[in-house]
Amino acid sequence: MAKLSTFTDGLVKENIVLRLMIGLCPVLAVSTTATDAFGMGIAATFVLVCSNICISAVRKLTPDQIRIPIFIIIISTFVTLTDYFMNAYAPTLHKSLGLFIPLIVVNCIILARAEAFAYKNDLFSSILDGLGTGLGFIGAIGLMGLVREILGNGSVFGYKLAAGLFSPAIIMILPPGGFIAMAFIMAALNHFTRKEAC
Amino acid sequence: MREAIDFAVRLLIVCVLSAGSLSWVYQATADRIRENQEKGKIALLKKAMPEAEHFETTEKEGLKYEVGYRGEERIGGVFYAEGKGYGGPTQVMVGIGKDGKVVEIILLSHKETPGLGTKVAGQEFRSQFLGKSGPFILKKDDPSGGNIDGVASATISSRAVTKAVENALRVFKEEWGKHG
Repeated sequence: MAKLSTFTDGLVKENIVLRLMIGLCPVLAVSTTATDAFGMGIAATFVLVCSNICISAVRKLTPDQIRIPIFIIIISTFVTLTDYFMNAYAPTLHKSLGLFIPLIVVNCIILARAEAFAYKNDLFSSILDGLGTGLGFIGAIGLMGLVREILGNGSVFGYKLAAGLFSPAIIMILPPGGFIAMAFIMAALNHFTRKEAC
Repeated sequence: MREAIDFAVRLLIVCVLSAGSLSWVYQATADRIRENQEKGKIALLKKAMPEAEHFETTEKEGLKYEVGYRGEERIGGVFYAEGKGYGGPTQVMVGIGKDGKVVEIILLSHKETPGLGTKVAGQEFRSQFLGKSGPFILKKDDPSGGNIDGVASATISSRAVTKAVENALRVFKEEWGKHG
């Protein structure tokens, strides 16, 4: 059963964004629309799972002293691959994510999982960990994107909601709106998952 | 010493594998990426000048514009121009017919405030230019002679676009005659 919990822990209990508060930069920056947010989430998850696999596979061949450069080379390889693929097959998404694709290299979520998990665990657990953490990341950034796009632009995935229901609050798609949405989502998560009333 | 060599060799192997897989994927996707960029550029040009069938790029001394053709006839040009916006440079693409009238204005890149400054890309503001040959002056800058209503609370953004369109028209006047 230990195997299963490596996957499920990343979803809510140890959600990388909402619980551990790591890798907030892309979460705040590219969550202005749901499309961008899910695109970013999927790209980062792909890199995370692939780099976890590679790092776990070569962990016994990697001396301690040079592990960080090796991690970085592996991670940046997958980021560049993602960049090429996205540019070729999803050019619109590639354009709107822009600089944030190459910046996945320095996303601390990926290096954190490499260092804390993949380097010390077997291949299968590392895949599970990557998937769990990644899905938790997609969930968090996607939820942010949905909330901010609905409140700030009055649309979902670019489709206008019934017009005239409310006038969108522009602040939600500006940087302060990112922090506001984040705070409310975290508060809600804490409220619904706390064990006892305090 | 032995350890240092061992580390170097291991790092080298990782780098070679990485470079190898990257160049393989680069080659596999390069054509498609170039195709996408070309397609995107042509789609934009078509938007700026819907009546043109094909475009020819003219480039000289740092000046670059596209001449639109329908059949053999040169029906207008698409010019790139810039204005100083609220958050940084505002780059626009202006389609100008051979009669010197603005066909379409497209915002290429800008750093304006979402929801306020970005309204200059909207129909309401843009339509004040279409089908006219200028000169365009913001009413706020010249209450008696102005002819362009700025977007409310986005005067600087409106001025940037107006200036950029004026710049494009200037280039048009200087360049168009040279083509005979």
